[in-house]
Amino acid sequence: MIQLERVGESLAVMAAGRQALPAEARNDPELGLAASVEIIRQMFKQFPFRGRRVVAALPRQSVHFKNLRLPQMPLSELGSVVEFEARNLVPFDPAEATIHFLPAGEVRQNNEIRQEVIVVGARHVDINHYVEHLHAAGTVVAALDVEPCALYRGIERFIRRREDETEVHVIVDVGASRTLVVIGRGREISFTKTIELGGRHFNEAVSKKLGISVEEAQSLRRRLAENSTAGVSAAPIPGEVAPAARRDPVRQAAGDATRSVMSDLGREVALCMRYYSVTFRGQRPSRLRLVGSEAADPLLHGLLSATIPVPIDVGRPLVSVDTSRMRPADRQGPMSEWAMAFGLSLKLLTGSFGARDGRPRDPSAPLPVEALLPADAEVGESTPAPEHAIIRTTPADGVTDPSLEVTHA
Amino acid sequence: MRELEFLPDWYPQMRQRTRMVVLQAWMTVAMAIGMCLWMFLMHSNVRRARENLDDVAGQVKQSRIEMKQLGYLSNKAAVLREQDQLMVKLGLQVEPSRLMKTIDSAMSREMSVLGMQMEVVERLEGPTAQSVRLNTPAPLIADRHLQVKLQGVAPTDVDLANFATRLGEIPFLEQVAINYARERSENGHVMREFEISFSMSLNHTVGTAPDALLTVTDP
Repeated sequence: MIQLERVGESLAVMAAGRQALPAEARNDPELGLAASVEIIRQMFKQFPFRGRRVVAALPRQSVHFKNLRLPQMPLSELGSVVEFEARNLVPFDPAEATIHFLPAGEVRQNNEIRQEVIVVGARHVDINHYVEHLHAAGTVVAALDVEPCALYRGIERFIRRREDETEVHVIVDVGASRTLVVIGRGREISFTKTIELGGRHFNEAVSKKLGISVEEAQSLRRRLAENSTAGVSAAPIPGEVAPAARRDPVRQAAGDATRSVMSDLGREVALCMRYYSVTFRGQRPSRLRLVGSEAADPLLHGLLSATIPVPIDVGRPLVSVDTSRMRPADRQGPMSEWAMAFGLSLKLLTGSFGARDGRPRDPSAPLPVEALLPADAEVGESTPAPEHAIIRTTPADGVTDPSLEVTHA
Repeated sequence: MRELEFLPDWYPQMRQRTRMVVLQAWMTVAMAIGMCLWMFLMHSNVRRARENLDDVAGQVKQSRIEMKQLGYLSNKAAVLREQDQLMVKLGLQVEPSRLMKTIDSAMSREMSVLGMQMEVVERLEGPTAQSVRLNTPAPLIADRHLQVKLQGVAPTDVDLANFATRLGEIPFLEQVAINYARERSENGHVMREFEISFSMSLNHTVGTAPDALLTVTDP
């Protein structure tokens, strides 16, 4: 969960906290939802969140995304056409569901320019069930979003220059169970896809290869990731494995175990980018931004770099946000696991935001000093009036569970 | 980016209804508290009014007793007033023995009384000019006086003068006058024979009877 406040033209974290879902609730959405209710209650008590209004993202398994190509028509007419066409697209009755759409852009099909639309639908039953659980947790749901929009909002709200309006952004959120790929140009989302590969699959592969439990595999991978990024001076590029660490046999075994799964993931991501490049003419993606709890894994970074023909950056969503009031333990590293929560927190905020130091935002710049501070270090900043917050639950091992992201206003 | 909103319509409505229910609950509680307060104040006022009523009833009871006594005293006063008026009409009664005792106390041992006449002189007064002008009947007032003439002998004129002076000093004796004083010789003794007269007012004013007269009428 994270709560933001506006400080002039920039943002500051007012309160933020993470708490893990129980292990048995990670693979069962219903159990996870029930556990989330209790976790949200606890976090409201443990962290200095103000108010109870939240913005949440629907669980990924409740939302259906379909691409639809339609003739060119005004945006006002698009809604009714999408509603009509949705009957053949979604696996449920559109009358019993909420159907929205995102205009993805123009595509050329058989010498004809058509309009591609991303149809987003969710059943009323699932939405109501989710809202009731959030309400039972003591929150007041101010808005209900979907994950791709939340993820892309973290970039869209910081676009200020004219040349950024045409830049293609590729965001890959590698979560605990799934990976979400969002590709957009300028301020609009053009493509989104969920890949059923995530941190759980990496852990299971290591567990199977080394003959250890999944929890031990999780701990091992986390420790290897921390060791590889510990010598930042030796590995100036985020995600790059230090040369000394490469010779570690355990690391090599873990790498061998996850290579296959990560390569599959890389191929899927590459296919997504290829689809985008083929479908939408114009500017190509110049780089890929890796976010989510697995984003800091140097092995994943390396494998994706080998598979994908564009540079890969580890996303730092809070780079333009004053994070001095976050716990030092939460401020370490690129903080890419906060990307979804950060995007949700921006939903009720209007306008664009600049960097906290007034300089243009550059996510590829070196990590800020406070991100590299030890866990007990404190960075003092002014604390103006609160404006917004986000809730996000993560498992204890730091792997993001995508089942719940809540923005708290 | 086009913002998508999946929040169902019923949720804000439910929130609004919940707020309304909470507001109504608070208002109900406030009204209940107000009603209780009002009831308490009302009961308090009623209790205070009852206490006042009891006080007033006690005062009325006391007043009734006093009124009864006042009525009794008024009747008594009327009776006494009638008796007083009757006394006025009758006039004061003067006992001759006490009058003679008073005269004796004023006389010296050498003096002797030869005779005494007492006569009540009444004079009626008619209506005044003012009462005639105002056409209001005025009662006839009787002016009563007891005219006393006393004949006696005294050794000398000095004794007679002293006697007259003493009579004049008695408050309720008026118009003390020596009618005559002449020489008298009896059995070779020369003495002065005299007659002295005086009067006493027998008028009695209602409620203002002089003590002297009362003393006179007191047996």
